[in-house]
Amino acid sequence: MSFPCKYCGSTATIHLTDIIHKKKREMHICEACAREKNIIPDSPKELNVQALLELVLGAATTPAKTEPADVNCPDCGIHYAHFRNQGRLGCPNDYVVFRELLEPLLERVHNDATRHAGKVPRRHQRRLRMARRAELEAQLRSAILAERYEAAAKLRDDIRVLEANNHEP
Amino acid sequence: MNLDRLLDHLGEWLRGTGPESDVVVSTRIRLARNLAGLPFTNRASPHQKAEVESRLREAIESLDLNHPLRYVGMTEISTVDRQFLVERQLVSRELATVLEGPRGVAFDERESVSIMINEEDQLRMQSMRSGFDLDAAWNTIDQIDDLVESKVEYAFSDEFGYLTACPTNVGTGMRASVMLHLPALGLTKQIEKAFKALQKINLVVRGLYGEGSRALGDFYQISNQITLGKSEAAALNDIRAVISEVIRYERLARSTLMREARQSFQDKVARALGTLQSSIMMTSEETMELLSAVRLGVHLKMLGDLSLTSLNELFIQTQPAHLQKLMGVPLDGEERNAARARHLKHKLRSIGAE
Repeated sequence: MSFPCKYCGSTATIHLTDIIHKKKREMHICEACAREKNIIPDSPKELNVQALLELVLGAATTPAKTEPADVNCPDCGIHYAHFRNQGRLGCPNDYVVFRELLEPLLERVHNDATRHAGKVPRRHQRRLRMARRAELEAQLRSAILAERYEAAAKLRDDIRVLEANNHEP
Repeated sequence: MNLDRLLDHLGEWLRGTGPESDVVVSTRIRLARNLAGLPFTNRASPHQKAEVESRLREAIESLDLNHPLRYVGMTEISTVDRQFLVERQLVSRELATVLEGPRGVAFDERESVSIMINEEDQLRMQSMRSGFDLDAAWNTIDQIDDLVESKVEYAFSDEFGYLTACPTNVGTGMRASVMLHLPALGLTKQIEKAFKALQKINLVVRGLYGEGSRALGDFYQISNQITLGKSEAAALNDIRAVISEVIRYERLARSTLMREARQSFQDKVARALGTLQSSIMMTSEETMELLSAVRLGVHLKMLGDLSLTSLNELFIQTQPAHLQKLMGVPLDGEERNAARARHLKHKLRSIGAE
């Protein structure tokens, strides 16, 4: 028996099954769409668990909103219902797994805020700077290609400022 | 570790000095942190807890600090010693009596920094200052946080900040608490009004020993509630503004009291001191209430000989575990009340309080 891909309709080769609140749900995807959605990477043999989870949990949002108790974390094994009873999460990854369930709670507790606005550990500062640099460089490249030289000059300056900060102790 | 040597000293938070120390007892700032890639304490196996303890203990004891931190494991000390550390505010009640397995605290000789390991979060780092000094407390703990982070990797996300076991702490993981002594606001029945205003701006009021404890002896802790979406500096500024207002109200109430009810207030202070000097049995609650009145008398210069430092000594030494360590034997409730009354009588006589 063959199933059509959830995204493009061609024959699916990847079949996902999950059970949420005693309801079995199936999802069928072709290989091309799976690559595009980052579920399977281009070469390594391992599945991208993160993307897979996001897909499954994202897709599960509708039933999850009514009965989220059975969502559980693959790292620490905690169920959302357990968290609601105890008020304590089981591991850092719970913030990824229960993200959509936690957001309304965070908004309530933290006066509508859902995004961190404070200190950042040193090692993350470096990573964030590098990501920012890559982003600026991509913009610079496309600005040059589009012959938007004024914008390109500004982007180049931004990159220089970032570089200068990079050399700070 | 032998904790007896702490008995003769006052910890940083009870020094009775620092800015605005007529109203503010102490300032403390704590940061909650966890290690990347490990379950939080409530979900960790005994083996994982032991691993966290040894990794963090090593990192903390090797920090390059002017006042190095020494580690005390909770499982290595007696129940009385654990309670003793709670009374000195170096550990939480949870760490001392509720949680199990490998866990403990590192602190410096001045008792101005304490770092709990395997509390609700793997790291609860706090810095204490006597009086109202948010900047000094923040600078110390910020620096220690940087040093620890150079040795271990924290659980952190760009979106949610420092990841904590309870979502109420996520983000900065920072709780700044200011302990206030507000006897005049209590006496003039204005305290409720003052605290209603605080709740509207997301600050929390608690009793002396944190969550769920009663506001004994007019001591209150005010702290920030929100940790997400607001920087540390912004949260500290909010607290600073509010505390300054509360200090102003308390001082106003004190001068009103002196102006309009001087004699009956003097009577109250004198009776409090008299009771402390002459009782046969004394509970720690009653001690706290009476010392609160005497303390206000000292601030209002009614009791020339008595210093804030001596009062703070009495305050801490009459707590149950301190008392038992001073006497050198375990005492039950009744025995403690008798020993407490004797200790107060003896101390107040040697201080020369009239």
